[in-house]
Amino acid sequence: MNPLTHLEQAEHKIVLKEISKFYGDILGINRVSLTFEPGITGLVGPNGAGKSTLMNLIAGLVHPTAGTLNVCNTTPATPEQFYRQISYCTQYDSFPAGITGYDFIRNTLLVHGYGKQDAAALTEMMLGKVSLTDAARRPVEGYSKGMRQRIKLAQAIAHQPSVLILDEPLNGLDPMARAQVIDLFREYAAAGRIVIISSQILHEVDLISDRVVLLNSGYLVAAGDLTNIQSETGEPMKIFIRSSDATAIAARVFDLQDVVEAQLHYDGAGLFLRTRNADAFFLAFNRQVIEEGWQIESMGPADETVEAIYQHLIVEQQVAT
Amino acid sequence: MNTGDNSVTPVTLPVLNSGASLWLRQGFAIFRIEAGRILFSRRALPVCLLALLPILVFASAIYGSILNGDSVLGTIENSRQVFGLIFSSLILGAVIFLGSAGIFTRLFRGEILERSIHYYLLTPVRREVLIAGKFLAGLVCAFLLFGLSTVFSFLLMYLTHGTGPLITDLNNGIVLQQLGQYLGITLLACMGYGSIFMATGLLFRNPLIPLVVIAGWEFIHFVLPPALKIFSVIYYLKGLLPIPMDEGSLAIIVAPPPLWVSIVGMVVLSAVALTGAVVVLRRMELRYTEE
Repeated sequence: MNPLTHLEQAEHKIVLKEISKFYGDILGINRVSLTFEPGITGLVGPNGAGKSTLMNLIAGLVHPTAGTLNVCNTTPATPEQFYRQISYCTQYDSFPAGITGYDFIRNTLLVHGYGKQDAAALTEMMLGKVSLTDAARRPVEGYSKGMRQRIKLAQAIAHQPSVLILDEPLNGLDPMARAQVIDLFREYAAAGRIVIISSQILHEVDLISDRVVLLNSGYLVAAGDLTNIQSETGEPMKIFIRSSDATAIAARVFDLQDVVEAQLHYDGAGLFLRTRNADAFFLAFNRQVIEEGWQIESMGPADETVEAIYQHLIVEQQVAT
Repeated sequence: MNTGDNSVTPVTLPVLNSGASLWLRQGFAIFRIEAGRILFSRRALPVCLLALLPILVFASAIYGSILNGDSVLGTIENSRQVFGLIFSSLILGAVIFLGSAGIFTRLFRGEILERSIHYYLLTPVRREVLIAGKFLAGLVCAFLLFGLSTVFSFLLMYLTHGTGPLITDLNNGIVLQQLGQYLGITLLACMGYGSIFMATGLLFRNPLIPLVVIAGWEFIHFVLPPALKIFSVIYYLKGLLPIPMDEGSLAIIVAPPPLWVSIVGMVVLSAVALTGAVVVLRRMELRYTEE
């Protein structure tokens, strides 16, 4: 993977300003302003949240009703520049009729404008990357779901775009293939590229993403890294402390600022607690650990996961309304 | 699966040119892909069968002539009249019309229906280049199929009389002249109908609607007033026929347009239809769920 230069990285972001999309009277997304920077961003939200609309807008497959979009200083109005930068692996499990895996990738590269030899070499390389060299000459229609996902992925990254958008890319993959595809995304992001992934499997988004964007009913609910989102929700943060002195800590922990709940772990060697002000808590707790001589094995947020944030910001809000 | 770069020889991404050389390369790639799909996929079968139809008609005429001991088409002049009639009604009115509908409508609508058009739309290709590449692929394939159908039908018409009249007319130039005219009409018809069906394939979700409307319009063109006749493809083609069409007693007869008007008219019609197709493609939003 060729890393981006500093100049490329400086211009390397997706900027959405007040972007809205209505399908007639139906809201797709409404007044979303976002900036995507290099790294992996997970798009999270229930069905109908606007994830696919947002990805289709960024990829230029639908046009915004209002607002502006800029992808690495290009827009879909200039497809020659725009689609060299961006690639979109859609959720559609469909292919040109009768096409083989090899031709699927090679044809795309030829249409990009690569010469036959370059296209053939890149195609072989991509087939190797997704372990489909042996199946390359077979029609894609005969592939398993996982193989089809992998050939789509190979086709999407064959021209090494600086922005890669993936709609449910892990669907149909077996656990080993999932792990390997995730490695591929990480490798891609590590080269300074923007990777946007939507997935319904929250723990995988959690595992992959540097940042998350939460959408619900067409509105942007939250965006950023998980710690920031968690702190901005106003919900008490859940912290887990693994310590042989858990019982002693539990007895004293309510003396500390902003602690609202404490619960011993079932093995007696750990403690869950909730605090309204994590920074102040950590400061005061560290001081007390030194004073009391408590032995602390580990300590950290217990609910700083996409799933926890999703539960709080989307599911609980839906139940409340 | 291998995600490391070490397992395969790394390939440095080649630098792409821009401008006309890139468009030509992209256009040729699209042409090659589409021509392969039109001629060598399952969807080619109905169109090939359609192209075989006039050949079968004249092959059966040869069979009848062998049984009869003489040409069932009458004299050679009569046979040319019969061919002219079959060309204008069967080949032009049905085979080329329906065949062009099958080939050109599928170029976009077929891919939208099979949910694969986004693979093209997500490539860095000017929409004009995409339209041009697909249209030229359709035109070349349609002309190849229907041109061959015309040539074989014409030769089979002669062969109902044996090889003698064919050799004589080859020597005096009648065969090449008439065949050239029929092939020219075939090319213009593929171009005119092809561009229209390509545009309607982008505009209409159900391709049968424009097909029926255009077929109806072309069918009734002979009773249309002159001001409306100019909007039908057949008007520009009938003046080029070596054997004039008999339009029946109800026809409103107008002088056929001169040769240059026919050719320029078809080129302009195609250019307008293709420009419309570019505009539609640029504005197109892809939501397969609605298709």
